Amino acid sequence: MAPHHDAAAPQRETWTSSTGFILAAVGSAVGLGNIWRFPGVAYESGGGAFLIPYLVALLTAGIPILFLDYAVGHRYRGAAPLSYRRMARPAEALGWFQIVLSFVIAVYYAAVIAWSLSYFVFAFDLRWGEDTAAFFVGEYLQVGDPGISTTLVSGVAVPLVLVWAAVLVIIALGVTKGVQRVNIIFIPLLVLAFVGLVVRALTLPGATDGLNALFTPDWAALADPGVWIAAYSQIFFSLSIAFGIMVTYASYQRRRANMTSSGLVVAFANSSFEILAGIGVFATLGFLAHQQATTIDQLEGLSGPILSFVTFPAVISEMPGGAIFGAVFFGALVLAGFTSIISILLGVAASVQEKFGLTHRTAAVTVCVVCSIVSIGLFSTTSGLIALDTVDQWANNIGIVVSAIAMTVLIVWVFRTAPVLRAHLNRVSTFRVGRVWFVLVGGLAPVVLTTMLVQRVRTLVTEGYEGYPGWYLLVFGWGTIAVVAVGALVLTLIPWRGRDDADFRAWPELEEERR
Amino acid sequence: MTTSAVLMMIVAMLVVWGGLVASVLFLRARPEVDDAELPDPDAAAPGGEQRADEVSPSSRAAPGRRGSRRAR
Repeated sequence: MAPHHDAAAPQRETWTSSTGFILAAVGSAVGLGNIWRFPGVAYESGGGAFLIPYLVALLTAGIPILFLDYAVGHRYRGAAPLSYRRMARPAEALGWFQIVLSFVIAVYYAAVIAWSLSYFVFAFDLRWGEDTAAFFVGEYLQVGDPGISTTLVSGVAVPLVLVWAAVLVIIALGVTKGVQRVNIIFIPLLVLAFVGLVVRALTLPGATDGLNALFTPDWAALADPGVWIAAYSQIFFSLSIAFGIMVTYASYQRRRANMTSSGLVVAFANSSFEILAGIGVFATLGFLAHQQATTIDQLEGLSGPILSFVTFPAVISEMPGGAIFGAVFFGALVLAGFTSIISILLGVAASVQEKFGLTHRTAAVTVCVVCSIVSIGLFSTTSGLIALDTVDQWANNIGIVVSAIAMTVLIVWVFRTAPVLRAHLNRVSTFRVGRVWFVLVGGLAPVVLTTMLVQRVRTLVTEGYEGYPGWYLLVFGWGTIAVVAVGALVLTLIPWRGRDDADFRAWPELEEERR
Repeated sequence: MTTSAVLMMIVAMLVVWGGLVASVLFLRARPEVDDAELPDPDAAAPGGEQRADEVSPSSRAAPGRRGSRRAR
């Protein structure tokens, strides 16, 4: 047998413990969406009653697809392209689709972390003043018209460069010394910071009105299919599943490792943080309503970047000791975002490393430098916010959903490897996956995801998005998807120079695989 | 707070945070599959069969060890 190209393919690192893996996976799942997306979605989709579709979605789609990601990465031991290739050769293209999508997401995700970093500094002297919306859009981002601008906004460029430098260092340090170490420090810190925020928020006048708004159940909402779609979307986007990240993370886990039991911890930890964030955010909004002598339903900007960068600064200014609250809040955003972006980029770096036979460090530096140039070029100019908003809308709602549909359909129906993956999970784990998993992953998930996709495409085609011009949506929206698809194809067709491993044998050997 | 809001908040906390506690306890009670059922390939003695793309979990002790001395 030919000797292995060890110089080109250095040893695969492993997490030093299950705790390391779990914390990193939680760090990846807990991101900005948990803080600014969940509370608003829950509030608008039936309040307390939303808990029911939310839990159903977690158990029937979130956890099953998370297990699917884990199974692929853990059995085939590579980042997404290599793992899928080892599963079934043509499936490599799906891996690259997920990885190019990750690259695109990292490009703009870094910008949001950079904004949070700026606001962390602004919090100390409440620099945003009275009109927080004008400050964010005008003074800070200097938003212009939709288009391509070359006017640099230094206030964004500087923190963005800092974020990229930090990301580069961590990815280059590798799985154990970089990613795992950061998560072991940042995740407990993030939880501590958020518990502190929640405790403070609950002592503010009006806090209980906020919690009333969030938790009062509107049972009629359960009859609305839109609310169920919202629940599946929330779970789906929140868990960072189906775009290669969890495949990569699982591939660094020891060969005999308890995957499903760890997965349950990760999934529930992610949702636990969402509930905590919901309480913190709505208690704070209750205080805002109280200060403005109004009610929650009269407030605007209850989710997304506007919640964080416009609504929250306004509340912080009115709060006694607001500077500390603000610093902790934006510090928490930075921590949550940072642990997510390193998971996104680790997958890209590992894929490039494996395909092109580079060392880990060379791949990490190359990927981070290229990604940061695109990121700084696009998002530190006056057209940054609009580009970000548009690319995000398409990358998430079209890109990831397409990737998830392709993944579930290909694995269950085309390559028919689901029984092998289930047997793998059950051999190495203590929590057994039943046959119902096939139905959830191969039936329910594609149906729900396709419904989500069709609805979204119809809306985007007929109504456009945010009133941006059609040519702009074509370039930055649909163009993003086209670039990802073409990129995936090209990267698949390039011959393997790295670790193709035609002789790879998955462990443990399974009866199911011989069939 | 209204009764229904308090109730739903408590239910949410119990189910989701309870789920977290339960899954942590489950993992701690059964952290690994039995050795008898599935011996850990990475715990094998040095020189044992190991694939080039794998690294022993004892890399904690021997970080520089490569999987290149594949037995086949």
